[in-house]
Amino acid sequence: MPALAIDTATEVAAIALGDRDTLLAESRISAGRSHLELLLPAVHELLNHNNLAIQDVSAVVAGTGPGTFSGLRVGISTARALAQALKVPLYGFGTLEALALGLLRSKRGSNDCLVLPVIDARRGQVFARLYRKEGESAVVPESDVLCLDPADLLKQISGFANGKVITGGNGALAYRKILQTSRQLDLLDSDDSGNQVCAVWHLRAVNIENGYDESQMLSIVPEYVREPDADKTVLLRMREPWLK
Amino acid sequence: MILGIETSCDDTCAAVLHGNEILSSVISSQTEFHALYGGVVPEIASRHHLELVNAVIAQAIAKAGVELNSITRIAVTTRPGLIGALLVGVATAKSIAYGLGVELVGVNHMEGHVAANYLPPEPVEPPFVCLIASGGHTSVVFVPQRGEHKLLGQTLDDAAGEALDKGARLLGLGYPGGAELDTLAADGAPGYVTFPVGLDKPGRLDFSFSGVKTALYYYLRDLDPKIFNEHRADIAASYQSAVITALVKKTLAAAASTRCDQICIGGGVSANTELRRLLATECERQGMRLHIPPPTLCTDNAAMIASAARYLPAKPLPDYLSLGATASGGFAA
Ligand SMILES: [Zn+2]
Repeated sequence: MPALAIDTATEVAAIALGDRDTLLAESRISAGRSHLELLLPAVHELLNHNNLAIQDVSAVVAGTGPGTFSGLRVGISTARALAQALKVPLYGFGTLEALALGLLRSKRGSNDCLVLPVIDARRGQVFARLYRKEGESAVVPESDVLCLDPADLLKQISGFANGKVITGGNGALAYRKILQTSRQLDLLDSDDSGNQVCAVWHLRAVNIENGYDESQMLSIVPEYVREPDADKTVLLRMREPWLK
Repeated sequence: MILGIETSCDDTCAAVLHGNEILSSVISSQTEFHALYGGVVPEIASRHHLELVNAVIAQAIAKAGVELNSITRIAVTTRPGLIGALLVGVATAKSIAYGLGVELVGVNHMEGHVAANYLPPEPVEPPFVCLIASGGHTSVVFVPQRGEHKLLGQTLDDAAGEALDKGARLLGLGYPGGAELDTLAADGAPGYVTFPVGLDKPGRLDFSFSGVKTALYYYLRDLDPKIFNEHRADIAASYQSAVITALVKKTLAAAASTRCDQICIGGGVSANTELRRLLATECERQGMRLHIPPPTLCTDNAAMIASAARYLPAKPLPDYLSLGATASGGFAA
């Protein structure tokens, strides 16, 4: 009975079936802004392909971001409701941490032990967090989750450590020109190097044990990092009643 | 057994319907969170829906005294509404349906307001003309039979409830001010100021509330504060009367134009005392039957969404897995 992992923090929706030790199947779809329309058909297809039904899923793991708000909400709403309907446990796992694990994996053999996953936060900013490798398959955070301009990220990183830092992710690729000015950063950019968020790392990171727990399910929410900005047009209309 | 889910604006709702019987209808209002801003903030609404929706569903199931797996059909609002808010409801509904292996119906929120009239305690049958007036929408629609809707009139600018809330705000009342305006107006004389009734022409069934709102703004701007303090209730009553008169006049004209003698209403504004009074008086005078659902079925709720799903065709698995949501979409003319 496999677990189902879902990550919709970026334009790529990532899904995987398996558990900590075995990966059954994985798929990634370029969903753009259409996660709502594309995610469940992709899950259904992946299950079908492996002669499984959704009722065979024994646990759900959701990538909690940070990333695009709408993408995260579709993935996490889907994960929460699947767990609720199937009465299986739901786990949340940070997207930056999963990305860090993927980046380290693709640099196996290297002595570098610092990794900086970077996710596009739009509006000229990125989400990033510095991690240090811990053993063969874990990372520990060396910084807070940051939401800042890529140039400010460079300044912060140079203050953190003097060794090489492996970096990647859709935010690192979007601002590669800026990040490549640093000699400290080693930017990974081939597709299977973990630059796209991959759900496999969510599966590998979570130790699935207990059964369905409603309060646990209700506690899984997106990691927004940014405060909601009150939509200016709507608010303006409400505050200035004579406008419009 | 149908589970309805509604998250199009700022209320998170779930309901269970068994046949035409409402086993439960849970509404979790977010008004207090938005009151701070004086309006619904879409991003805040979306965040709250995600946090609340599963618990609201669990509560609806528990109150109904059933199990989630006795549900045979899921109904969900797919349009119109705040897109981020709709996304949460649709993703949740599809996943619950998929997990349970049951069929799903996507429902137009406006049609849901009409379908609230089919529910107990006093279910009605078409043909009727239905006025739907709330903070988000204002439409008059002719319903010849279940599932068929002919749009006769709609607002060209603000919704009626929005106009009442904004008027309340100009009069220094809180948010959402419609209810407070209603209370204040009860002690006032509606003839104290003559505010314009929007698009008040024979045969014109559309609404416009920007004129009356602007008129109130300029009236108050040039008003002696002493008179304002003395006559606040009169001004409130006059303003409210202009908005309500437009609703009632056009609804009755719509009924006349379709030779229909039954009038139904829906939407939050149907709680308004003046609307109820004037509609009742006019319907009586013109020999029309008036039907007003209980307040909890007039404001946004999920029982009305489940009610619409009783007669709408359902999508089977796996067809609904790709279902999306759209911000726009009311009735077609
Ligand atoms: Zn409504």
